[in-house]
Amino acid sequence: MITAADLARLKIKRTIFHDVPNRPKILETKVILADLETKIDVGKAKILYDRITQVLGSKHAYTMHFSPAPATKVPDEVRAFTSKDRTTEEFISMSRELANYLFAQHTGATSPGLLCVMEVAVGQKRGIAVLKLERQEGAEIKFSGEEGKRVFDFDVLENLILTDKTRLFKSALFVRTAPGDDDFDSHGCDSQGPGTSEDVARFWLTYLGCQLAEEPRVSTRKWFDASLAFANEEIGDPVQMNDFYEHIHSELKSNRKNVSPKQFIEDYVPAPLRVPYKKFLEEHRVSLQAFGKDISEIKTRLRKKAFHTSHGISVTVPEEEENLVKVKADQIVVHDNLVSVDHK
Amino acid sequence: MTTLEEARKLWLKEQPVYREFGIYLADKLKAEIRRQGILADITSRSKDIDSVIKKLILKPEHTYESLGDKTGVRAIVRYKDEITPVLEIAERLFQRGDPENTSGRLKPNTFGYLSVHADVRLLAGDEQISKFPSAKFAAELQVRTLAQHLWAEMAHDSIYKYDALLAPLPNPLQRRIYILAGVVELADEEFNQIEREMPSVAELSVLKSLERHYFKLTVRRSDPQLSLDVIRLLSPLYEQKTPAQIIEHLNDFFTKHEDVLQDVYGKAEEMPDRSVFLFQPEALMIYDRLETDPLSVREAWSGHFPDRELERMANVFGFSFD
Repeated sequence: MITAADLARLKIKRTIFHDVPNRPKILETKVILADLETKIDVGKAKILYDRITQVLGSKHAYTMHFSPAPATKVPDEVRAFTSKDRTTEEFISMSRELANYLFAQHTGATSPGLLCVMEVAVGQKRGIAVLKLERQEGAEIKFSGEEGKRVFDFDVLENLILTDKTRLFKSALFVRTAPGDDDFDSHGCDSQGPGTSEDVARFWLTYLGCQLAEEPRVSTRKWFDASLAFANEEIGDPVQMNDFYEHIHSELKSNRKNVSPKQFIEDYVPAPLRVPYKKFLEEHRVSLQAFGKDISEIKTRLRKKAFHTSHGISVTVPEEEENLVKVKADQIVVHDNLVSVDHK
Repeated sequence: MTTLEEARKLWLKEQPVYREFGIYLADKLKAEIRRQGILADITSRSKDIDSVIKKLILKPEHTYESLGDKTGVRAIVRYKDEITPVLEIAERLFQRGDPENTSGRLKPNTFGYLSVHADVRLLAGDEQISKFPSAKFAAELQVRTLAQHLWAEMAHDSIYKYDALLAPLPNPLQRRIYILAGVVELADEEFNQIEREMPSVAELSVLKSLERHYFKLTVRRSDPQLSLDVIRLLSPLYEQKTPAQIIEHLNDFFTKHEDVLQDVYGKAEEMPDRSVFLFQPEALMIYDRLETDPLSVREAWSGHFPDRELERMANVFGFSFD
């Protein structure tokens, strides 16, 4: 998993940009590949570095790994390139392949964009960062230099990045941790989140030849279990505990396709509980990274059954605890301890 | 035994190697002093030809070979209490002779040059020992405070050097010079004493502790007023911790994150668009709180300091606000 410390230590070594248009059926378009890397000074590297951190360190970034059956050859390129020190020519060649694979994934409905490929280092570890910077159709992308020496003009990009309101670019970072094929720490992000397996939002993961590090149904169940355990074990105040339950349930029942534990903390967890909750999740090996929401394993636990009496009394019970409520002809008995009374 | 003419020729030939030797010693000392979190200005120099010959003329008991200060390394520290740690570092890094404190030469009612001197040579296991063998290459290490340095600079080539030189001056002028010497020495003592007593004030004790770590990362000076404002702002985020507990926590945090911090500060030196809070000792505190509870930092920060500066700090330590 890529940590904040990894991002803090990240250094950009080489950068190149390619223009990858969309592919409408009725019009022939072609990818414009740079022939040379774009030389960037410290200031420009900082702009790119900030964007990588803002996106891949965000609440919406997700942990991923190479798929056993990838749809593209991106994993092969990443594995090969990071296996040893590479020349500039090898870097350019690898980046052009990545741009071609992206173009092959595009359709007429895909946003055109600039693909920025960076060779990076995290301490002694080699890595590759990829950003897809979306641009409006028809917007001019400036390359300078003659055929064979085409290079992207960074000043245009600077404007593009700095004026872009979308802060969550499609992005990925692969950091090699050991010589093996799957010895990588990898993070991805895009504005739509990781999505579930049926989602079109998986376009980016598909292009990267990756899948989420953990199945969404597993991540969802783990987060749910750990959050419930936290509420039961760590929250003493019954009202606060009840609120916390409600927030967990509404998060899982909402229409959002992703859950971001970091976002959940920001939105719902009271200030004194933030640090203990974060620590609790970490101790229970629940990642704070975003994951696609899939409640298939906990569906029944989210359902509630309500009993309404002729005098307007209601008793609500989680479906899996239904046996605690005994309904007889003239009485309803709840076999539980009273923890709080609300006056409404 | 060499004649003056031979000494002249030899020094013209050997001076570049001695200069290199001085730079090597200074770099080594600088790195270790920085690791200890002491702010010090370390320089080296090799004597120019005139100085070598003048010294041999004025001190006939010396030969070219026996001149121990053909190369010198100087460490200027802020406080007298920092002199001993620097000498201890030199003892670990080099073969170090017994230090000589020049104040020992002075009578109570005289003044003069104040500094601590010691001869240094490379240890047998040093990676450069074959280039600078200890039998031949020695340097004089001078360790002094800023106040002592002020006096030494003013005294250089002037009448302030030794009180014996004052004899021809009229009494009132001599008296003013003695007063001045006393003022500089008193200032030195007072700076040291104040520094010792400062940690009894809560936020200053935190600042002093942060400075020790900060100077391991950089020699850039900071703005103490800004430091104290930030320390006061962030201290309540350490729940019920006392200043001593906060210091202990930050010491642990620094140890665990030193690699990252070294990398970040290494990169930041050249970075044009960095947060103004990065080259402040309290940057460590900001980093710690951002890692633990970013939302509380943002809530506390907002309205006191520019939000964008905090985001710059977060980004440089690998955190995102998105």
